Amino acid sequence: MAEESDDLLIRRTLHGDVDAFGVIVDRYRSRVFNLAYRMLGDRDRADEAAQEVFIRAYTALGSYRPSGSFSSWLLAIAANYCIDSLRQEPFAAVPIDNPKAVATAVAGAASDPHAAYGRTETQQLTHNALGRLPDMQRLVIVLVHIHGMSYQQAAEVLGQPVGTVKSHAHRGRARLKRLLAPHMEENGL
Amino acid sequence: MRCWQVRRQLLRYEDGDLSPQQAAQIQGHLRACPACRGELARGRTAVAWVEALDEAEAAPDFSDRVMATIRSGQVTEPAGQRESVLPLWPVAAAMGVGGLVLAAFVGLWAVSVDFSALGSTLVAWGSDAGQAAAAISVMGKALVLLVEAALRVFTTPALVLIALDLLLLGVTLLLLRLWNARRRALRIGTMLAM
Ligand SMILES: [Zn+2]
Repeated sequence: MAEESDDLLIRRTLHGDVDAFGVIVDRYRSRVFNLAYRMLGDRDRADEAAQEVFIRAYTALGSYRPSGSFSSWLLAIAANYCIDSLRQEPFAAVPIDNPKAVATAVAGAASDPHAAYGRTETQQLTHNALGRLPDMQRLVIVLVHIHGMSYQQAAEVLGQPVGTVKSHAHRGRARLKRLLAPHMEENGL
Repeated sequence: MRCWQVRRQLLRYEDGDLSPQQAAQIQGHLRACPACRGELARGRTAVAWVEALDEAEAAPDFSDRVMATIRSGQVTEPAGQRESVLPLWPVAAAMGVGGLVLAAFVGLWAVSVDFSALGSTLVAWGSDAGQAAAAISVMGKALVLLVEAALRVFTTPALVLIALDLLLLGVTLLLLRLWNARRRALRIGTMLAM
């Protein structure tokens, strides 16, 4: 069966077909959850945020215009929610010297937490380094380097000029390099 | 180039934002300077580590919980049909009337074409063309009559001005509508601007 387009599913939802929205949730849950996780730093908080993002998207669905892309619209809601949430409570870094915390915090943790630990140490350091960036820099880095968006697409999500988005990205990358450089030396890079 | 100059351009160099000449200067410096090469490599490693982060998977019951909340009735339902930013009919009406005026001006030009002369030219080419030429001449005369009748309605200068105004109004409304739709779509995005 051919996949239904986002716009068709949205029209069906607006006509009262709630199941159509369920297909949207399945289609975008990973992207929204992943954005929230990298922005907020903690799985439980990310789960709560992503749930709320989909509820808000459902309620606001009437204001979505098919002239833009649905994924940009949805991720804009997610980004907005995360930025608001970070004003209440900052990014929750995972303590690196605690293997148990690392293993449980790692996304999609493997069945054997200790085996996963070595491989994920760099992941945790990178995750925490992301958390030390200013929120907008982190947001742009997540959109561009984790979600694979172009600067143009990220600018559309954030409603900011491409130049501004690029400058957030550049400052974020420079800072990440400084934060991660000591660990690269440890690894002989 | 000095190291500090190179380092200030390094990210733009990686993004391919420099002119070929600037890029060549950076490349030249990088070949000669291990310190700047190291800086470039560390920047690339940092990005590579970010890009290699595992995708965080949502909990297996994630979608079920969203849908349960929506079905619980505690969530406001989306506002039914998407309301139009501006109805399309004023645009259509204004542009339709304006278009008629334009057609009349085109008609003015058509009247000036001498269809009988065109017919005679074709007759001179041969007998087959002669029949076609006669038909063109007749159709041309009919067209001239029609256009002249239409022009009589539009030759009042005031009417022409009103119609032109309507055409302009139509274009303005259309632009406003397009701009509005785009602004609305991005409204949530702009709330992030800081
Ligand atoms: Zn140098």
